[in-house]
Amino acid sequence: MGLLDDLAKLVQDPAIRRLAERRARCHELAEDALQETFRAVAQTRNPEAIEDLRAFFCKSLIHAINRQLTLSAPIPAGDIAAIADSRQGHSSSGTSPPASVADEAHRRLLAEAALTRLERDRAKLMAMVPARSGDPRRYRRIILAAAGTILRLLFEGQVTMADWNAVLRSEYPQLWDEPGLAHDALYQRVSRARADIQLLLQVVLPRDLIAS
Amino acid sequence: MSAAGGAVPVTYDRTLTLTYDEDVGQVVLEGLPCGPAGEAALSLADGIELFFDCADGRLSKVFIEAGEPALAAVAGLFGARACAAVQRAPSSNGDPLTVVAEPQLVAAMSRLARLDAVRFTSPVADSPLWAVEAAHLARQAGLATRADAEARRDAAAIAHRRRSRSLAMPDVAAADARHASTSNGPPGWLDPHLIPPGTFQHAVWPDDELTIRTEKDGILVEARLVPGADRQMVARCHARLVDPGNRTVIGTAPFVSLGDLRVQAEIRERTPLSSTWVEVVEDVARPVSSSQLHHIRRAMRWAQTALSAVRQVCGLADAEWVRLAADAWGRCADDWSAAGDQDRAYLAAVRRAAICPGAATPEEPSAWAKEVAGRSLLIEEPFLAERLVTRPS
Repeated sequence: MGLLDDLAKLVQDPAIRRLAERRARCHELAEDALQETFRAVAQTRNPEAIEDLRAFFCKSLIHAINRQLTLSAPIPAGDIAAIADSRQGHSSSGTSPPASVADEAHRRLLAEAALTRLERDRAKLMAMVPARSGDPRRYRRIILAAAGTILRLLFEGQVTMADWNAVLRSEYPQLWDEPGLAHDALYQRVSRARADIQLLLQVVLPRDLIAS
Repeated sequence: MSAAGGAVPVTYDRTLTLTYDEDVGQVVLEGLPCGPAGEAALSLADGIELFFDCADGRLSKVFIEAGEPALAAVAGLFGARACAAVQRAPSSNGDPLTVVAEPQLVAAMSRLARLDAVRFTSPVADSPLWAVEAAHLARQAGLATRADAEARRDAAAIAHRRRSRSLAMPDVAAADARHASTSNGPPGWLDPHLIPPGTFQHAVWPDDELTIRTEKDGILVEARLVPGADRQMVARCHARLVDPGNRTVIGTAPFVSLGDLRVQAEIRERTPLSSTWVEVVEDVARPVSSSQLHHIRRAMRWAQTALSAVRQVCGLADAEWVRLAADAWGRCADDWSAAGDQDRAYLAAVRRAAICPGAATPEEPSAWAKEVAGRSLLIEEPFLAERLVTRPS
C-alpha cells in the first residue's frame, strides 16, 4: 500500500477526526486542517524516514490547527545564545552596532523616497533643467536619467566627483566626443551638466546627502 | 486618533497558563487568545516558537518542545525559574506561570515577528528596508544569526532590484485606482498562503490586488507581478474559481503575460454562483479550503491593512489614512462575522470605533474579548519600508 493510501485512511480514521474537531473546535476548520495535513505529509521529501506515520500525521495536524490564525511561517532564528547577554544589557552580536544600521536605513529611506519623487514629478523636474543644447528635450531627459543613476549610487554608498563624471560620460557620451571642442569649453559643459543634476537632486534630496 | 499622544509600547502578560500537550509532547504557555489581526510567529531556536498578537503586539503564546536549545531559550528569555517550571510541566499542567522578561527584548521580538508577518503582503515587499529593519530588530532581540541572515538578504534584495531596475516604488495609488474601477466579478485577493512570495504585486487594499471581470464567455483575472518576478514560478500559478461552500473547483486557468508586468488568466466558466471566490494558487491541485477559512484569512489581511494605515497615522494626522483604517476594520469585522467568530468581529468593531467616533460596537460576546478590548491600543511608528507606501486614491 502506498503513502497516499495510508494517508487517506488516516484522514478517515474516526479517532483522528475527533482529535481534529476537538482541537479546532469547529467542523469546517478541522476539515481544513485535515486537508492541509494530508497535502503537507504527502509532499514530504523523505517519507521513508517517517517511523510512525500515524504519530507524525497527528503531530502535523495539531501543528496545522495551532497555526490557523498565524499570518506566516516563522523564519528560523538559528540561535539564542545572545538573548541572555541582551538581558544583561550586553551587545549581542559581533557585527556592526545598531546605530550604524539605523543610519544606513535612514540614508536608504531618503534615497528611495527621492527616487520616487524623481519618477513621480518627472515633468515638473524636466521643466526645471535649463535648455543648454540644440535639443533641449533630449538634454533634459539625459540630465534626469543621470540624476536617477546618481541617486542609485547614493543608495549603495558614497558618491565621488569621479562617479559623477563617469555617470555623465555614460549617459551623455556626445558631451565629450564633439570634435574640436577645447578643454576649457568641455570643462564648462561638464560643470554645467553636473550643476543641472545637482539642482534636481537638491529638489528631491536633503543637501547633506549630495556628496561630491 | 490618539497618535498625537505619542507611541504606546508593546506590553506582555506576566502571568501565562502553563499546559502540557501530551498529544505532541509540547509545553504551551498561553495568555489571552489573539485578536482580529491574528498572530505572528517568531522562532527563537529549535523547538521554541513565540506568538505575538498582530494588533496589540502582546505575547499570546509560546510553544516549547523538549530539547536543550529550547530550554536554553526559555531560561535566557524568562529566567531560570520559568525554565524549571517548563521542565516540570507534565506534573504542573494548568498552573499559572509568572514570567519576567526584559520589556525591550520582548518589544523587539514582537516587532520582528510582526514585520515578518506583513513584509510579504506589502505593496513594497521587495524593499531592502525590510531586511535592514529586521536585522536591526534581530540584534536588539539578541538573535545574532538571524541578524546576519537579514544582512545577506538585504544585499540580495539590492542586487535583485538593481537587476530588475526597480529601485523606484510601484505607483500603488494609480494601480489601486485602476483596479477598483474595473472589477465586476466575484471576490478575490492574493492569499499569501497560496502563492509563492515575491511573485505577485500586493496592494494596500486587498480588493485591488486582482482585477476580476465577468465576461460573456468566462471570467478574466488580471494580476500584477513584482518587477523581476521569476517567470517560471509564475507559469506554475493558476487562477481558480472556487466554491468554498462545498470545497469545489469550478474552473482554472494559467496566467499569460500581457507584455508588461500584468498577467491575465481566462477562466472559461460562466455565471458563477454568488458564493464563489477567485483565488490564485501555486499548486493547482491544492484542495479548496472552507468558506470559514477564506473569511478568516481575508479578515486577518483586512486587519493588516488597517494596522498599516494606523501606523502611517502615528505622529502625522492624515484623515485619509484614518478613513482607510476605519474602512479596513469594518471589512475585517464583516469577514470575522461571516466566519462565525463574533469575538473577533466585536474586537475589529471596537478598533474601528476607536478611530471613527460614533461607529457602533456590538455587545461584547465573551469575557476574554472584553478584556482584550479594554487594553491600550498599540501605537507605533510605521515599519521603515512602509514609509514609502502611498495611500490609495
